[in-house]
Amino acid sequence: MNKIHSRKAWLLVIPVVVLVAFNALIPLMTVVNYSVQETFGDNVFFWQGVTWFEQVLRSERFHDAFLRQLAFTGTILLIEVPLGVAVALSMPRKGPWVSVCLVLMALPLLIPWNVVGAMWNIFALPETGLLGHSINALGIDYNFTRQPVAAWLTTVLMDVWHWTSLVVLLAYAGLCAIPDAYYQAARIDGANAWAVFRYIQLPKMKRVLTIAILLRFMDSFMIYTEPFVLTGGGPGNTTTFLSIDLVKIALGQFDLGPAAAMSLIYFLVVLLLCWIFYSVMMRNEAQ
Amino acid sequence: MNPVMSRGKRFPGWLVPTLYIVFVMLPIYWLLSMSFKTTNEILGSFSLWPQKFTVANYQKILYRSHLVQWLH
Repeated sequence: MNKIHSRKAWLLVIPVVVLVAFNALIPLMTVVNYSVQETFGDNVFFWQGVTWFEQVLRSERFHDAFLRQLAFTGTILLIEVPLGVAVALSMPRKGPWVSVCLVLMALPLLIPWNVVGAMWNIFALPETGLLGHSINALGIDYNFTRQPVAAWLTTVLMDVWHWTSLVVLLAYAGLCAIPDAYYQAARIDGANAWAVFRYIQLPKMKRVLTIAILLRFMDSFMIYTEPFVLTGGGPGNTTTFLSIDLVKIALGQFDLGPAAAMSLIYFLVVLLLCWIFYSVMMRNEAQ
Repeated sequence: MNPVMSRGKRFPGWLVPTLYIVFVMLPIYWLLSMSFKTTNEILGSFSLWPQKFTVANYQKILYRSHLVQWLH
């Protein structure tokens, strides 16, 4: 039987192409446009080449924000992933408590970002907030609006509070998908709890954990609203992450060229890191 | 049964999720309790629960935003 080739099938792709063009490609090209030109308004542009890219890549300010961002993302991943897995492992598998746990744990995921920021701001106020008051009552001097370390810790704790539940839910779903037969086999072999975790639960959770880490990585790398509302990037610049810095350059100083160059670099970094992470995880899977 | 549960002899398994849920609920409790406090109490002093219970904050939000008018 001969297959009939028809180029008319391409017509069916047109709606998708138009949609993607309007919501992704055209806005992206605007940024590209700004990143290689200088404008003084009135729609007059001057060609600049790679000047802005060079300027951004050489600036100390970008390096600092980038390192801060890496440190923040690394810290929250190191806390959220093990904590999420630990909570998922010790959660009940059957019975009425399952839904109680799931609903209560999912609450932070339902709260809008700016509310989370505002909520943690008042929760951590040194004199009248529950967290700030308790820490100060213990004799530790704590004021997240003045001390960089305190601001940093509060931001990390807020992110852990907001997003660990996502890791818990994903890890729990992975655990629930393991058939009982695996556990029975492990018991017959006399495997201890660590061996069961290392050779049954962890390998079976690997796919969901890959997704969880990827989601948490991307989200925390692009974090804006929560630290902006909590600390406003301060004290000084200590919690100014990449996106906050970007907005300061673009809307605060109105340096559209450098801001456009920075957002393209930012985008490429996220894309590159996700690609590296994903291919490393998938290569391990293939082995 | 799940072998992780059998660790419960040394270490109660419900403790980890319970502590985690307490951690999750604390800021939410604080937000809720503050919504029933007067502005003076929020800014002026530290209290674990509203000393003068009030729903004035809710009235203010609902009326000022004209939400109630829209509902009519």
